[in-house]
Amino acid sequence: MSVGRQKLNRREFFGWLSIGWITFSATCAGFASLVFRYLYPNVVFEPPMDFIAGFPSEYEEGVDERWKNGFGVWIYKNEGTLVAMSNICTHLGCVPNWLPAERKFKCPCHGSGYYPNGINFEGPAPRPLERYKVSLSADGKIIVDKSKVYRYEKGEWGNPGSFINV
Amino acid sequence: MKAVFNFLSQPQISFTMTIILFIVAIQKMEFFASKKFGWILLFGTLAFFGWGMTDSVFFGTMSWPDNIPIGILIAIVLWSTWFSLHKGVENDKRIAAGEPPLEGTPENREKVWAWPNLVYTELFAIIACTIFLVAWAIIFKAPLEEPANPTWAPNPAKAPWYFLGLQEMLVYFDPWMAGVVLPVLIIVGLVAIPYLDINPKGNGYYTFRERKFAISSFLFGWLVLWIFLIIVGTFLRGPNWTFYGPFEFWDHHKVVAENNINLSEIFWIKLFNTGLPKNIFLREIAGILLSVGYLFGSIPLITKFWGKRYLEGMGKVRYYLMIILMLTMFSLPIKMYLRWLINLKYIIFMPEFELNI
Amino acid sequence: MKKNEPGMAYNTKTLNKVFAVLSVVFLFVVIWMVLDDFIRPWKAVQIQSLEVKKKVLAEKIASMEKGIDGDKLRATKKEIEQAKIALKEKEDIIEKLNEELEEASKKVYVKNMNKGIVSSQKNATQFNYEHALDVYGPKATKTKKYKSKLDLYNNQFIEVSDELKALQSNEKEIIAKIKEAKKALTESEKELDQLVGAKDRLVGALDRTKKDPVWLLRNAPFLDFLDPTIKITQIVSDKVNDDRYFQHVPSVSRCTTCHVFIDQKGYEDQPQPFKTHPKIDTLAIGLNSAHPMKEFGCVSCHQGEGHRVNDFNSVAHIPQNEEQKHEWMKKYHWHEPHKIPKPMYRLQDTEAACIKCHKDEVRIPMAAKANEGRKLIETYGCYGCHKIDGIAGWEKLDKPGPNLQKIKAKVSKNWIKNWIWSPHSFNPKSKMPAFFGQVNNSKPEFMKKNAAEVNAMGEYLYAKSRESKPILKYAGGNKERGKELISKVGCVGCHMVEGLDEQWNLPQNRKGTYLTGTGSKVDPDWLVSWLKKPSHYDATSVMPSFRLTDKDANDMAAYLLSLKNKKFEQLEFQDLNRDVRDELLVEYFSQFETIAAAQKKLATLKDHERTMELGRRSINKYGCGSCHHIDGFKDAVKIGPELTKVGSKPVEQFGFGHQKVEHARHAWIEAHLVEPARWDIGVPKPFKDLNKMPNFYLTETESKKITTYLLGLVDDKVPAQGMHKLTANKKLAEKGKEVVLKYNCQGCHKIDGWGGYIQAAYEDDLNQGPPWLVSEGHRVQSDWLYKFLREVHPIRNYLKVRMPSFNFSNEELNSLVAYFQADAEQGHFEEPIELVEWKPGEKAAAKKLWDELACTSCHTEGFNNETPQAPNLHFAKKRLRKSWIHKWLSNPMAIQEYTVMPDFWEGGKTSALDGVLGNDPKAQMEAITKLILEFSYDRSPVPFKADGQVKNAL
Repeated sequence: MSVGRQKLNRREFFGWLSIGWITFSATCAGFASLVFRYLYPNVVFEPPMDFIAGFPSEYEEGVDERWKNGFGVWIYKNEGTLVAMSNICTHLGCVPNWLPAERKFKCPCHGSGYYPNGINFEGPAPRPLERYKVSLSADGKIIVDKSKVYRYEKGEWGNPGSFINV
Repeated sequence: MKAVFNFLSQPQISFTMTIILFIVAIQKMEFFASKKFGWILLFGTLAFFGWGMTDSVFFGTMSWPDNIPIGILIAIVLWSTWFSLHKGVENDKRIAAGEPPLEGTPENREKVWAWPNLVYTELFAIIACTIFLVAWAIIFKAPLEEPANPTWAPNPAKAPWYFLGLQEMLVYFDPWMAGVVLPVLIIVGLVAIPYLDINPKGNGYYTFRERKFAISSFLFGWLVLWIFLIIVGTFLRGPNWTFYGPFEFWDHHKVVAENNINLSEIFWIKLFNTGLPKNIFLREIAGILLSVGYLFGSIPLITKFWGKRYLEGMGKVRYYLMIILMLTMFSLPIKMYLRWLINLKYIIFMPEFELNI
Repeated sequence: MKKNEPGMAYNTKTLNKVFAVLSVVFLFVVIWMVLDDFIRPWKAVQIQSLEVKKKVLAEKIASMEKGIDGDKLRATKKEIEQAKIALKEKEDIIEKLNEELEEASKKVYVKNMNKGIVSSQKNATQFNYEHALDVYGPKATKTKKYKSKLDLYNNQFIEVSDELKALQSNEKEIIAKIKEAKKALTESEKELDQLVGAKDRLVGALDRTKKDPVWLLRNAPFLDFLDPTIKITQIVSDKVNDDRYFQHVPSVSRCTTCHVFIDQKGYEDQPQPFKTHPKIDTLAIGLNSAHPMKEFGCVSCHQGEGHRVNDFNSVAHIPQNEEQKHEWMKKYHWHEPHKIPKPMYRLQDTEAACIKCHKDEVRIPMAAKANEGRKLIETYGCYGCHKIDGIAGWEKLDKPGPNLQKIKAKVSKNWIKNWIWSPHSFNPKSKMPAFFGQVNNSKPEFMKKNAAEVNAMGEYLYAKSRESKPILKYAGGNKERGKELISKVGCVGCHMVEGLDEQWNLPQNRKGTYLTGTGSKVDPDWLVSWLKKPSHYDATSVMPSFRLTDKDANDMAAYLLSLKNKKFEQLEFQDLNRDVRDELLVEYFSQFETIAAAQKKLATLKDHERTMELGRRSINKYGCGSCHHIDGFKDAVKIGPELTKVGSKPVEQFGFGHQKVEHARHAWIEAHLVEPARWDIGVPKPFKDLNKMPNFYLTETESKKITTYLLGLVDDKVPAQGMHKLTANKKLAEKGKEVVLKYNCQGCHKIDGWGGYIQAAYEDDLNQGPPWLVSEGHRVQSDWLYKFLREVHPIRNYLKVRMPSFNFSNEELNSLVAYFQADAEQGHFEEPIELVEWKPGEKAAAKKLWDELACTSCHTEGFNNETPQAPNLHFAKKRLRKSWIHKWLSNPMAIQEYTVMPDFWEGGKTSALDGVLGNDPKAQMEAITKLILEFSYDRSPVPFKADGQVKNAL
């Protein structure tokens, strides 16, 4: 280029060319990032992952099946704590049945058995039933959030979101 | 005043005025390509638009987001036509004085580096275009209308602007003609230009006088026919494809008498007072004779009174091809006038062959 | 020209300058783009909602804090402190216990592991053993080896399991000990939570409304793709679909993006859009309401563009009135929505949305406005000319106008003509609309033609009328007594009558016409015959017989005939203008022929024939056959446009003419109902093209109500899961309601809360009015009801008002009975009671109760000669269901609020009489019931005697 190699001094660093290139690249980066942002939708059509499960006082001690069919969740209230258990068997994913007479969950597919608190004790189930996040809303209702899961074998059943005190 | 404009913009009248203006402009190109006229054109257009925008109908049509780019394009067409003719007339003056054209001067014949002269400036153009488009997109948002309903056509249903010329042609021609045959011929004609045009002048420099025939015939097809039809189709056609002046409210209930008759009917029923013959060819004999006469029979006449020079210069093949293409081009305004003057529907009406001219 | 460097067309410095400028402009434009995309009107609303939430929460917290018992709080806190201190002292014990627990848990874990190993070994061996047994047999060495191994493992397993159980119970013990040690603290903490827990949660919620840095980051431009708090929320409902033309997709409602608190109680006083939804627990939104929000969304009831969310206008909110329109124009720059197929309903029209799902119901629960609109359409008979299809109840209704097949026996020809010309001159409250003298046909030449038409129609009706001989001759009567009878016997359940006392004029009862000027209208013999037996004159009429004696009929007739309309009497309708008549006929005949041919045809007709022809054509033209039974017009097509889908009719298809009416469906319908002929104003039309819809002189209120209903008649394809599905019983009930509508039962009876408009006349003592029918299907036996409706007999002889005898068809009768039975979810029969079997001592107890409770002081009939104040109990066995008698005895007012029957058993809980049947209320009620059933008649009483005599008429 016939411009000739000139030494870049301080004044010229902020010269027109630099301004031009810096702003140009910044703008291109900004434009690209907006394209990236555009690719993430503002609304998604997904089924709701959380639901309101009424007041803790509405539940008796033991396993409650009222949300099993609609949301796949058992509520278990025992000695001052209330948890929400997933109804997906940890063996191969079938839905166990709650047998109140024998006080256990029994999976009809391969015979996995769980105690009322979800711990596996018989059959091929390798680990206990998972628990969903439970919390209390501002007016005291239980909110079950299925997007967050707590596993016993990872020691997560002690985490504050995995149970509520009642 | 507005009523005058509405009246004048009717296709019959405005088309005629455009043709007359065109012929005058070709004859008096020196004036029309001058800087003076350039300013007149600019201020005249601005004045007209400034005054027109005060009218709500005009404003509504012009400011409708779909129409704004077309307005801009028309402005660009007008400007670039004037500019190139201006440059051409300037060069003509220089050539007449014995000087080389502007593009031929030594300074302008110097070579420059593609980088940065071309590439850098192309980058500027890209950035400027992007700025323009982004600003445009923010200000004139794409409208969100109702869900598309295949059972309901909007009224008027207009093609994109580049097809509005054809859609306007559909008023006068059968869809096969206006939609297929003529567009194909236009394209074929444009493709054929480099092979038909053997005029060595004007290579690399603007000129008018040295390429008068080529420029005039092209500008006729381009401005007087194509652009004019687009303007009519965009701004002057409303619901039911009825004509509305630029200041006329688009009343959906406007009724225009448009009863058209075929040539065969004029010939047999009106003139000879008999029924239409059963035989198709006999029935359309008047149209057939006329069309054949126009397309082929007129060639000897044209050659005798005007085209001898060209025949000798271009050779038979080129010359006859050019003549046929030109005749086809002129058939459009001729048909338009026939429609306006005698309510002619089809010169040849043979739906059995889908041949309606 | 400036000299550039060689090879350069431009100066480099200049180029660089241009580049810099363009880049900076580019940067600004892109930033502008980011901001334009990021800053959205709905976000501003959500951010504002945070402020509202803060305010409401703060108020709630403040009120809660006031409610907390300060002393108790302090005491509890002190307890906690003390418990904590006590716990501190036990610290080492607890630490030791915790260590023990750790050990124990470890042991349990290890033992569990071992158990698992043993278990798997056992299972594997089990399999091998069984396999060997199968293949090699029980005696083989292999098998035996496996068997012994299996036994070993089995024993091991049992051992391990036992040990594990022991360890686990040990672990449990330790946990219990720790718990015991901490008990005081835990309990105190629980108490504290009970006192302040709710408030603390609210404080937590209040905290979360703060705009802290995390909040800012989550909602920043670009970063808000991760997990924003300001976001669009939506409800997808498959109960109602959006029509995307040849595809229907579940509706999407994004209204909750701005209407943040619509489903939360506590925001009822906030301005929109932060208000709580009304009737949140009963009608909509609430989890236990009829239309929970998550299932139905918002668009199903309010319409509108549920998908759009950008700003106030994009959703197509429609203002309720001019005032709100201007408010919105100022506040939100509101403009009429363009290109929106289904804008929102105006708030007052929301109930229109109920109809598309509740198509099978005659009256829609909780939709009072829509029901009122429907009632008006039924009253004015719009359905006579305008077909309404696909919705329960419209097809069954009778023709709205009276039967004209025998008209000459009732009124004079002159009267007919004057009436047709201007009904309201005779009866200002008439439901018959006015065809003539309207804004579009009052030009002199039109009026001349109309007069000819009316003349011809009158002549036609009269000439074609059948004979009808009266069954009774008018012999004069006591009009005072007649007036009394009319007020009391029950006519006012359907008719308003001129001259009656204020209390007997019930504006809701317009099934029958307003009786005024009768003396200037009807033939007296006809009148008494009609009152005596309506079906004699008109078998299609729904007017019942009141089983009047001849004297009653004559007295009533005397009163009615005393009502005169002197002005109308004096009107002589102009003579038929034969020239105009012929002109009209030629117009008709020349529709498809030349005028000359038409005139030729005319010449072939004699004078009378011509009049008949014009009469016939005119009746056809004005569509009289749609509302009246007329001979020769039996299959008259409904002359008006069908209204089944008027709520979806494109606005472009409504003809607004030159009228300055807002370009919207609801505006057109409202304007149309008030003045139907207005669309012709300013339009030069020939006579035959004039708008024919007559004028009902509806008030604006009536018009608005009818409009609300009509807007709900849409052609939306509601999916099956969205339609309100009725149980089989409810379906039967709705079918029966159609019959109820036709005969106007609800004019007198309040049927499970519906109707009973006559009650307004009995405000002082509802017991004197027609009884409420509350769960009637449970009260009466179905076959009794059937027989009763077929042949009415009095049950409450102390009432002046009378149950009339209707002329039901068999199908209608069955439908009615099925309605009551199904609505009360009853079977056909309860156990038949032929013989009453007494337990020892029961009958004596029953007799004692009967005497002590003094039943015969009100239920006197058959027991003494006092005036009865309660129904005749002798009908009980055949009429009432036994289980209902029990229900009634235990709590009469729960069934019939206004009854004077005492509540002897106080809800069935206490004994009515001390010392009887061991003070068991159930046994006492059973005893009384048995007694009543025993002395009841074995058969329903013989119906009223042939001469119509009835006991205790006035």
